[in-house]
Amino acid sequence: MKRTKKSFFVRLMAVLMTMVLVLSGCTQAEKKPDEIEKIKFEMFAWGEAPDEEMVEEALNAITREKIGVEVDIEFYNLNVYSEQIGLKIAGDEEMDLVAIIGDTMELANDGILMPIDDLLDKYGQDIKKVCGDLLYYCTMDGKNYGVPFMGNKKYVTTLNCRKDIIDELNIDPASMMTIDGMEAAFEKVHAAYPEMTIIAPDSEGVIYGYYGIDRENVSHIDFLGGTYYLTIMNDDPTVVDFYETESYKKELKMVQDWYEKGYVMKDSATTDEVGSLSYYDGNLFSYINWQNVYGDPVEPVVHLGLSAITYPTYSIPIADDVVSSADTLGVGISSNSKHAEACMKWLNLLFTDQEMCTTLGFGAKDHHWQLREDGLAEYCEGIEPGNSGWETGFNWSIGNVGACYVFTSVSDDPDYNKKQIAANDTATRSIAYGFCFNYEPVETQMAACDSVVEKYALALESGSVDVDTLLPEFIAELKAAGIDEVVQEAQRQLDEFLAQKK
Amino acid sequence: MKHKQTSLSKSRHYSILYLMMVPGLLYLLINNYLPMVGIFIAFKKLDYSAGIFKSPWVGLRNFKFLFATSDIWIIIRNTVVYNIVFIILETVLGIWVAIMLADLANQRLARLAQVTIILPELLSLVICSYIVFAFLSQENGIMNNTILPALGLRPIGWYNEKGPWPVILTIVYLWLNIGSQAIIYLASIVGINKELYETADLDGASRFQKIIYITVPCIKPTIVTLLLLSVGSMFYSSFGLFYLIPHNSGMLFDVTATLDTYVYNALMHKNNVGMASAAGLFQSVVGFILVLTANKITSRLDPDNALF
Repeated sequence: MKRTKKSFFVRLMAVLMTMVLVLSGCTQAEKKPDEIEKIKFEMFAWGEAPDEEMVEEALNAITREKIGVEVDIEFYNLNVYSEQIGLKIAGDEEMDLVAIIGDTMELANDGILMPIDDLLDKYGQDIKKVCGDLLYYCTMDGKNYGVPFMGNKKYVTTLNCRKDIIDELNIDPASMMTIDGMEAAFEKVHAAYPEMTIIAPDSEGVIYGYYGIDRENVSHIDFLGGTYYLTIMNDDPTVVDFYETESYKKELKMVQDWYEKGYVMKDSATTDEVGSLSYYDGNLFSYINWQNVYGDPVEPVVHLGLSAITYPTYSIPIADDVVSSADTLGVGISSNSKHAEACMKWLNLLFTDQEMCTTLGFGAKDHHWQLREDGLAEYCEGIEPGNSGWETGFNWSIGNVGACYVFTSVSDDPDYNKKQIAANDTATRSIAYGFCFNYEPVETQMAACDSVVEKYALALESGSVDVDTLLPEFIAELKAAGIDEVVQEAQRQLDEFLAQKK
Repeated sequence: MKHKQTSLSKSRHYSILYLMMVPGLLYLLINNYLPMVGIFIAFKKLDYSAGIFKSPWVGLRNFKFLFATSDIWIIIRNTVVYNIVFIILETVLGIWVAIMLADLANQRLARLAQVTIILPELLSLVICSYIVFAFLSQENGIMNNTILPALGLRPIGWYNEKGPWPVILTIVYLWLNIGSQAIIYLASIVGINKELYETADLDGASRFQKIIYITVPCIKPTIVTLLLLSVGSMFYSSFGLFYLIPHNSGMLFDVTATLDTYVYNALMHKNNVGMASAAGLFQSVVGFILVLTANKITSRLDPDNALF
């Protein structure tokens, strides 16, 4: 069940997301100092956060005074996050704010999240203003279930590879943006470093699979909220089963070829190790993931990794960037919360209060970071980015990047963060952005399909089995499990969604 | 309870003993009986905003997914057939090993052997799964890189090939479980009156005859009890064995999926408590029927050894 339980965007973990902030006016909400409401925040743990108490106190100092709300953050390991939330719900434990990473569709379907339209109208005016039409990022049956993360929402599939090797072998990184160029480069690297694994799978065991876009025919693809097999391509509103497409077959063939040539880790379908981790100890040349792209994505980007052991890396875009319905980062309110209004007030403040936003993302002011006179922020002395004591996913998954201070380590432009958000408006946006599939009518079929996917997809996508015999078997079993009914239902809902949008 | 008087005085007599049962009963009640209330979730579509009790009833819909594909028959087949094979081999090999241990004249060697065969039982299945992986890994595994080339055979994609897995799982199961079985049989073999063997020696019985005519009949009650216990759990499988050892590899599901792994996967998949409960309930009901049947058969064949 590896692949469905985690989100699409869990795979963005490796993404460097340093954010910054812009000077925007702070809105002062009404003060109610005498009655402090305490809310809980369920959050996935991304790194180490030993300074939790200090940061919570810093946050509460701001919100106590402005809106009379205090927050208590609870972290759960990312790998078990959705299960933990499920267990809490099964145990009927009260929750308030729930970070969303990937499973919005399921959370909303199971009634775990509450529709928040009314709350947004009442207490979330600033959120509405900041998000604009990006606000409706998870609408099911016309209701909105979450507040999106506002940052750069464009994502692109990139091939991330070792800069030193590319330079040494005189490969032009731009040439690798096509499949042919990529394969030529792989061949060169394999010849020069026969011991090295050329390409490895991600945390889900996938090398190319759902990342892949057959670029000649498909410029962008939307997995309709992370279902993996329900897709629309090139803004054609026809829902198709991804596993039946020619593009998928082409990719499988390609990866099988790589496997036979010895580019791929042989145990990738079985091992629990995240293949791409061997990148850090130098045994791996490249891996594919989604990256959040800054500015113009058509150029290969060079960046240094999160920590010193990472190698300088070229991130080469191998597909077009798109803002799609698969972007599920955000935050929702638990349906059993008794403090829904306080939650919305808190979120609303987060979207506009610079200090609060920066504190949540980067730690306590004057301990982790400090404000310079020119309005930019910098890390305090002795605080090491990547090991600051507040390494959470907040800075790239919750809130509004546009309301955070710009860190000098990222840019000297105080408007840098605002520009990031503005860039969303010019990005290619999938027509299905915001579509959230209500799978209840076809729940049985989907559960059956999921087991079939579980059985075949990983082995096929690892390249270790014969595509010509197994792919038809795979598709036939999917048909038997009722995939056509699922596709039909998705189509019906998507048509409705698109009609409403107009 | 027919003779009220007797049972009352009896219960007084044993009151301390009954008192000692209380913690155990409480444990049973809390762990095994209270959760049964949850059975009705199998018939509901769980809506968290409404709560467990107010969620809508959906009849048998949650059971549908179990039978949506042909998987369920494969799963039942796997569960039952593996269990039958395990029970037979474990009993036969367990007795065999126990007899060998009992016959070892060197006591020190016998103790060493006992400890050695029971040691795997103490290993966590997670560790076992990596011991197996060390053999079968395609990249660095001993099988593909050393043993098969030495025999002049082609490497095998172990985690993609269904064929060898029934054998692999059986070997791993026996490796893990033979020790404790053997120790239990050994205990009852040691209890057999030595004079029987001496008489047999005088009559000129061979070693094999002694085993067939003395050892096996003497340990029959132990064999029947252990067999009944195993049959009772016929519909349950060692989760770790079937989930961890094959690394949950999809290509192997046809020969490794059992009810337990299926239920686990269903719950982990979509957090669908309703469907998972349905699968669990199904497993319990079939398991229950199986226990009753096994007991019925036993009471026909050997009334003294039946459970009830």
